[in-house]
Amino acid sequence: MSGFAIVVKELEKTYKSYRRGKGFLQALKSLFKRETVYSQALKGINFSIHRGEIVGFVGPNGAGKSTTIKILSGVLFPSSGSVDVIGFVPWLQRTKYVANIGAVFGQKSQLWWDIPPVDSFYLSKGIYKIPDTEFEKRLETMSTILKVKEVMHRPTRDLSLGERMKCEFIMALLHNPQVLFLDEPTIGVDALAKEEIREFLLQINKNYKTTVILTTHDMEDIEELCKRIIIIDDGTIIFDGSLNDIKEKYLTCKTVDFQFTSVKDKRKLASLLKKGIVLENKKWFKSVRFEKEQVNVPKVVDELIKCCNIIDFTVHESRLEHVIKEIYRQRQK
Amino acid sequence: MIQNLLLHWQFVKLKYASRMAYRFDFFTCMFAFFLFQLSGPLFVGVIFYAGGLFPGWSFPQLLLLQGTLALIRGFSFMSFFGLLWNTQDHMRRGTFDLLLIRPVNSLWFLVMNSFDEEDSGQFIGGVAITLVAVSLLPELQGSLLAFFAILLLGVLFFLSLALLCSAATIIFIETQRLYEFIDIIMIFASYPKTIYSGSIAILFNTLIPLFVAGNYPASALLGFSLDGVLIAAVSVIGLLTVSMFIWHKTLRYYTSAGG
Repeated sequence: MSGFAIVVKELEKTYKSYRRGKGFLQALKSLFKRETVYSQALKGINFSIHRGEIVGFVGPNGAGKSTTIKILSGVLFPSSGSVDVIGFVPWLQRTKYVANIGAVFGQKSQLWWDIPPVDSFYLSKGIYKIPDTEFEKRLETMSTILKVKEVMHRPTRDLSLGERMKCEFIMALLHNPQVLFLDEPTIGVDALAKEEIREFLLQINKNYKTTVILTTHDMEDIEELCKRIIIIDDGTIIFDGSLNDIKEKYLTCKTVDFQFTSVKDKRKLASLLKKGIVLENKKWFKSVRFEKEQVNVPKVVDELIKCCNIIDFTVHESRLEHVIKEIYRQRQK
Repeated sequence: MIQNLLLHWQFVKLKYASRMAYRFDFFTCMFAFFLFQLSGPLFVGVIFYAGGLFPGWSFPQLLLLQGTLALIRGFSFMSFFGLLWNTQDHMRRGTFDLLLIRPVNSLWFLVMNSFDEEDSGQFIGGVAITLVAVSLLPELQGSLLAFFAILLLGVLFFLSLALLCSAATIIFIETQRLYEFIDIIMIFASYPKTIYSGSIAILFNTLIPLFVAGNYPASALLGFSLDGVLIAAVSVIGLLTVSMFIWHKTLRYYTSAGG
């Protein structure tokens, strides 16, 4: 096979459901006659992912992310199109194929609730037929990196969300999968645990060349882990490129925040503020967004320093999160 | 195969370990199900001694029929009948996906997951009633080998029903009431075959071969006539084949939960 781990061509998925009106009479009517509704979750998407790549797969709710991931992991049958993941057609060769993938679903636990995670790990060892020495070695390495050597012996129900998610990662990676699907893996996890999980993932990716598809609404995850991002909306891929590309294309603004104690030239300050969009306007604090193409931001900063007694000052680009939100908004319009 | 059986055993142990985390509930469940199993023989006993007619059957023989039914039912409920509730639970919570991403036969994995330690009480109850019945009988004129072979058929019959219900759940999600149908049908398995005649007897020997769940195994042990057992056996194997085929087919229509 080529250097691609995943090749998706013209993938379509249509769901069949039933519409029902509101109220008791409609409910009664629906017992005998229902209106069939077809919704196209995926409208012929195409993309490919190299072996060892970490790709962010993002989009608003209902965009088709989960459907794509479920088809790629062999859970769902598509309506049409072709998928090749590490040489397998996921839904046709599912049992053999899934031995080579791992998955972490932030909202669905693979651990047994009333017993310690370590017992679930041993169950995984049996399911994936992992040799003893390999299993012990991997468990030792992963539990050390993720700092769960002690907690994995406590019942899952007693663990914090962060500790549990770390154990979920071990569960998904013990069999050393070639492809890892992550669906909101850090949802609700505190900042420190998130950082540890991200470092762990980067290390796994580096050591084992694991291909990772990350679905998340947390853009910090994307910025920290991915070099490439695929944005899907309404069943169509609307962006597929590097993070730098998206920043260049969409990060057209800079925001200047400044705090000051007095104003030397009120008219000058007012004219400078007019050049941008004032995001926050307090008496002694302003936050202004300037279009990079229309305004020479360093020059504006220089003039601001001259017309105010500034005590604190920051210039920053919009965050990826804002860019993505903006893209979603534009699509809604 | 051995590895798969070991894995199954590992599942069973984990299920017990998991349940034993709540000791009070563990013991009360076991005891409640044990008592539940006794209710069937008690009911039949009341009918018997009130003059109810079960031609050709004495009370210990009736008790053996009740015992084998309870044994098969208990074993099935403990080992795999949880499929019904497990499938529904997975469908509702969207966790069926987690079963499908395991490199083992999904059906077998679901069966392993459906081991219901709570129903151990039912199984123990079934064994106890059978042993009591055997001890009350002057002698057993039948074949122990035939008894166990037909017990297995009974278990496969329950497995077929569980698979059909599970398949229906994958498609329709809410199918709780199907279990009640099964429960009603199983009442007919509590009585000797001799009380049924005509088309009803044919129905319970062919399309719904529930005689294998009590009548035939008890008859095999008692040395009674086993006329019709081969037809029932073919019917059970056919039902099992069809139900497995349907179960695997329904996976194509699985839509998962929104995410």
